Amino acid sequence: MAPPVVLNPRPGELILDLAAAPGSKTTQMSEMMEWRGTIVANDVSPSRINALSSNIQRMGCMNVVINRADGRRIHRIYGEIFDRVLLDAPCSSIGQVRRSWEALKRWNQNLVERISVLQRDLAIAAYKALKPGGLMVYSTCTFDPEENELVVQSLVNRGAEVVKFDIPGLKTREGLVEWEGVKLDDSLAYTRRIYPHLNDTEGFYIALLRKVPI
Amino acid sequence: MIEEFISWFKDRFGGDISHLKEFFVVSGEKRIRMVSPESKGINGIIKGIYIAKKVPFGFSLSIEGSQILGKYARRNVVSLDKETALVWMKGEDIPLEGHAVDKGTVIIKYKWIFMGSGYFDGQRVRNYVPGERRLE
Ligand SMILES: C[S@@+](CC[C@H](N)C(=O)[O-])C[C@H]1O[C@@H](n2cnc3c(N)ncnc32)[C@H](O)[C@@H]1O
Repeated sequence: MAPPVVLNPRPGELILDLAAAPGSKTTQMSEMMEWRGTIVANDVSPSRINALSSNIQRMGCMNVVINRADGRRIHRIYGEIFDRVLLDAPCSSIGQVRRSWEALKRWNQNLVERISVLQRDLAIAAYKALKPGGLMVYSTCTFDPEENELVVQSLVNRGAEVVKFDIPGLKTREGLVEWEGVKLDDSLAYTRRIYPHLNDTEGFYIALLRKVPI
Repeated sequence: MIEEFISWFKDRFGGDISHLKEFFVVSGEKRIRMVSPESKGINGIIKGIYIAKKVPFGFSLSIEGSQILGKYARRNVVSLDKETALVWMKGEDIPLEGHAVDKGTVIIKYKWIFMGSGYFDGQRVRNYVPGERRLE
């Protein structure tokens, strides 16, 4: 999957996967790290943590530590210690509509507004848990700007730097730099929208950020 | 318990796994897990993977334990044919004749694939594949 490829965790590093269950990206990162270093795989949902833990076991991920906490408090638990953080956020999932008709039935503007508040709070906590100079990926499987560019903009407002990246072999579109008449930071164009028709995949959004040392 | 596990593995399977010692941690009263050394001091509810459990006749190995440690075993490994391997993965006991194995824990494999461990009672291998991992 693309978000771990963009985050590019290295063997020996300390990584946070803030909304990890059921662990498809955790297990991918564990292998990229050659099972060295540590991934803290956090989630809030006990039933999803059960699935996460059996996937970690089955895939032999001995560098994973599972934690259960509301991600909005994560920086209070661990401090600013992580080399890299993945926030694969809970979202309204409209990018999955080709696979799941349910996603469309569930979708409404209220859901988007409610979930975007949670996403912003999770993103801020994830950013705070980074070491100065550390890298963070924010990803969703949806297209609403409220759940994507506007969340990233709230990190830019806190001093985050948006980092340019490519995903080899994947066609992407630039992130939006304006929404409903509101101008966003130009660097939001470095974030990527991957629409389903571009590569015949599900749809998703990815941003790469660096915590600028103060 | 870790020293005991390492020396039990050597006695039972003829293989030295002492170089992996820094990865082993004891969990609860009976279990051994494998954890990257860097992860030992990090807070969390579950660390690394479960590989072995203390039992009255030594230890049993989980499927992952057999996959990681199986390559060090020189004896008491039972190689199954495809048909019997499927029966094993369905959770059934396997009658054993003509295999040179001793009573106690045996590692099960099919070709190069390790498939957990069982207890050989002299006639059959009792199946330890956990319920949720068995084939329907
Ligand atoms: C898109 S899914 C993650 C998928 C996962 N990264 C994977 O690749 O397998 C979002 C996850 O966020 C979790 N979540 C929702 N609210 C949360 C919160 N406040 N703190 C932590 N995790 C949360 C959900 O339980 C869900 O597992």
